Amino acid sequence: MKRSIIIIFHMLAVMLALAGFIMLRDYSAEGRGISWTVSGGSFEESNLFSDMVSSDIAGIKRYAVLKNAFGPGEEPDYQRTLIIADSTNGTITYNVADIVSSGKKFGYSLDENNRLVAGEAAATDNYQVRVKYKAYDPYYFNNIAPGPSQGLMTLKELCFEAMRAMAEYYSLSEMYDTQETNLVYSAYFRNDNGEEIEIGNAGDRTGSITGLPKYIVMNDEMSVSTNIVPQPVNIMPDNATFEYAEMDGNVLELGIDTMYLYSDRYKAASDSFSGYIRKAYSRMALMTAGILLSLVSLVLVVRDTDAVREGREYLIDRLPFEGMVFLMAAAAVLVYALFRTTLYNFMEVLAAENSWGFWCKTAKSVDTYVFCVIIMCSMYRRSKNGGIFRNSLIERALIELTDDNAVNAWKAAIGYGVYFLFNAVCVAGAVLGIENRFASRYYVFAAVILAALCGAVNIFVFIRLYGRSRQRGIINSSLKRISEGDTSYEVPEKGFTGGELEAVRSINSISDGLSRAINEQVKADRLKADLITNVSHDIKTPLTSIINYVDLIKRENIDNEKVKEYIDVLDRKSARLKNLTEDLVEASKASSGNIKMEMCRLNMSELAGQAGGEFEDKFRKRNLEFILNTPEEPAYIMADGRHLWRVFENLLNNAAKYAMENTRIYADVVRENGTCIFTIKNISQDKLNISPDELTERFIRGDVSRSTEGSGLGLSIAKSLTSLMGGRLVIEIDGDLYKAKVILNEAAETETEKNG
Amino acid sequence: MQNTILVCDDEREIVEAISIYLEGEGFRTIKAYDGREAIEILETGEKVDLIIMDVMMPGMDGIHATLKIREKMDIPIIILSAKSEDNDKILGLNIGADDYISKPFNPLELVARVKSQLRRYMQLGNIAGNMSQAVFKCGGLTINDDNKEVFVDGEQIRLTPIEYNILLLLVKNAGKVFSIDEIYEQIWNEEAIGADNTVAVHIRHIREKIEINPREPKYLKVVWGVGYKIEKQ
Repeated sequence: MKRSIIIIFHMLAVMLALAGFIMLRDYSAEGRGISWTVSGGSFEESNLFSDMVSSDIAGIKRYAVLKNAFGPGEEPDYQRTLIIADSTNGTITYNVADIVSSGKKFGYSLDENNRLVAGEAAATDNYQVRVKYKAYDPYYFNNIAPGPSQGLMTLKELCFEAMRAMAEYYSLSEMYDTQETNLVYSAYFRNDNGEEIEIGNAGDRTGSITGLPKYIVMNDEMSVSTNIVPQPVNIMPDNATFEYAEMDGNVLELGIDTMYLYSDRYKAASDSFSGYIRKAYSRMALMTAGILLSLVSLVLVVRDTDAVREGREYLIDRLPFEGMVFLMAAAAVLVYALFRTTLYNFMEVLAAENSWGFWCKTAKSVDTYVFCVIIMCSMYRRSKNGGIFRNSLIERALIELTDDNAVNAWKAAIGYGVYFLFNAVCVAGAVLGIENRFASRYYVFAAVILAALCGAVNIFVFIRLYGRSRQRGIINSSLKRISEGDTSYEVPEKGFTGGELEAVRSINSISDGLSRAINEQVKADRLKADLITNVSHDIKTPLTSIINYVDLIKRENIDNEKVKEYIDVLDRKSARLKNLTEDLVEASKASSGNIKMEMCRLNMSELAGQAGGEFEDKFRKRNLEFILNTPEEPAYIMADGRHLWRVFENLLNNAAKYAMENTRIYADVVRENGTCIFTIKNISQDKLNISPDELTERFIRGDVSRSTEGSGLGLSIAKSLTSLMGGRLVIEIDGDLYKAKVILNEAAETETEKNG
Repeated sequence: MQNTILVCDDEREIVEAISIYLEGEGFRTIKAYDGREAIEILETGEKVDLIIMDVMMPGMDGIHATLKIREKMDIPIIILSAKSEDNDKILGLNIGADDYISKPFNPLELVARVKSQLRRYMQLGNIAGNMSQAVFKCGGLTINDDNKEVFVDGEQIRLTPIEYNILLLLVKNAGKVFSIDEIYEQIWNEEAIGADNTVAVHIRHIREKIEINPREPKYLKVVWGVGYKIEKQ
């Protein structure tokens, strides 16, 4: 419901925009677009004003021409020669009176307002003459097409034309001879016969025209001076209407009195100008509002679509932006092309011929509109998913071409361009030389030289490319070697050039730094382990005394219960301290890898069985049942037996300490995908609110209170030792179920086993 | 007969504590606080039956002192050290020490080791004389199969029949490693089904009986992940 309202609203907004556009079109000044509305507000500075001046200049010039044709007086001079033509009877000359009387025969006359009227024709005419001269159209002869039919006209046509010109003369004279106008002008021309024609309405204002607020002066030197901005369009000397320009001594002065003392068309235009502007603005506003509203409503419609709501994307949203726009434009053209014939058929049946253009335009508009809407929808979805211009090819290209790595690409591209050009020039030159081999032997000579040059350059380029790719091969293999761990490897710099030499130097400095860093790391680790070992030795000596003397005190007969209790605490804590120091040394060695591993083939099941035996009484003390499942065939692994035992010992120790009493501990050995996995599972007595990763950290224990004995290093040691043997220790916690997995690679089968 | 033990350590309190333990067991002790002092005492002609020697001491350290003593005497020397690395132990035993205890030590273990060393030293040669076919010897471990008796350093040990059979199997094949399944098949005369820690538990019990420190066995060694063996000595 809501959506359909928005769609209807959108349609209305589109219509509003269209209506605004069409109305604005009616007002647009010819060829000036909407620029006339931005003239600064005053009529005198608008295009409208300058267009009026421009049309007056044209009118005055025309008036001058007609004045020349019909005589200097106010009334036409009936004796003036108007037309000269050739006929079969020789040259005929028509004066104004001839034309007027002939015109009457054909029904043409001027009414009381001096307008041409066509009455009933008394005669028909099909007698043609070849016209040579028309006074009212002095350039007629220049303008007609040459040929056998040039200038052929009937008398009737001539009469119509001449009398129309006469009517025009009357109306122009009415317009430009009056002094009651804000337009003041004075013009002086010289005609073909050298007669002066002077027109104007300045009267006593002559000479003060340039003092008027707006004026324009044009003279025979083709210079123009004016203060009318924007300049009228037809003041340029090459304008065709400036027909007398090339004759000597013509002058046109024209001014407008912007006081508008007389009520003429200038005053009317000035009065209504602000009205025009307002109307134009309101129509522009109408159009803009329509466009904006249609966009907004379109966005609302799009936002409400399922795709946008669910964040879905269509294929066109994933295309590059330009590709999408191009594709849609192409689709619009294609759709119109496909349905054009159908459209024509329907139009022919349904619409009158004079409205076909309209329907074609409408169909095109609808087609364009639909695809614009699709583009807009895609843009909207894009804006929701990382920017409208996401995937834009131009953006990508800009990024590509402006980043630091583009320099080499540019070099390569330019280099290749030069190379290609050189080859093209050489080949073209050689071909041309061979083609013209008969013209001169120098051509052949040049062709041979060009071919040789081309060959030499190509061989040189090939050798360079070959060498470079070899160098690159060396660089690649060196990089591989270093990345595989040979950090001390140095690439010999000899034989490398240019960018490859730079690369080799960089590689060498990287491998240098890398091996130095590794050495330092190893050294630091060893120092740390040594430090811990030494410190623990120093602790052990006083600790020995403490333990021994505590033990000695225990042997004394002490009656005091409290003292006995205190001694127990001392005993326990000193034992704990002993464990800690030992584990600390081991942990530091294990984590720094400072332990020698004697790897040999051993059976994980066997080890699990042995470990189970070792822990039997510990488990029994807490009434824990140890259940071991091993595969039938031995699970051979490569490991250091003593250290792997230490790993198992720590895991079983944890189980013995932390498993809930009277439960079962499950241990499984399985072979899986080339690995052997020892898993121990038990139900924890306390809540395990700690992550498996944290458990293997040093000094972290499941029981935060740290009440039980133990250093908190057990799992950390186990993990380090396992990874030193190339395996993994994985701890999993699922509620109270605690699971530890030792994963080691299966050992390769020996010969005897294969045979057996 | 009262045995005399020379205790040598730069930590006076430790020497004192060790003396108290040993004297409690009826030994006579002589105290020395560095290697040179120990050698000087020995050079006076004092009768000493066993030496407990610390390694890290000012003046002459335990290693040098042991080397020096070994030039003239073959009395048992037990090294007592805060260094517990394998390398340290191997070094100590290689230069002529008979046993190695790391600090901090269990007083009972120290006393047991002292006694064990003394018994071996005193009775060495006595038993070797009346060796019969049914007697198997391995270091301080002796098994008389005629009357099913087991001695460690001359002291009789009580074993259950299964424990005895396992130990006998291992001693007879000293140096050979037996896996759990092999031991099971040999002793119980039936095929091992696996997944049973009976054998491992028995082995641990044997170790607890014949070894001074079952965690660091001297005779019955665990080859982790492979099996068990008696070290050939």
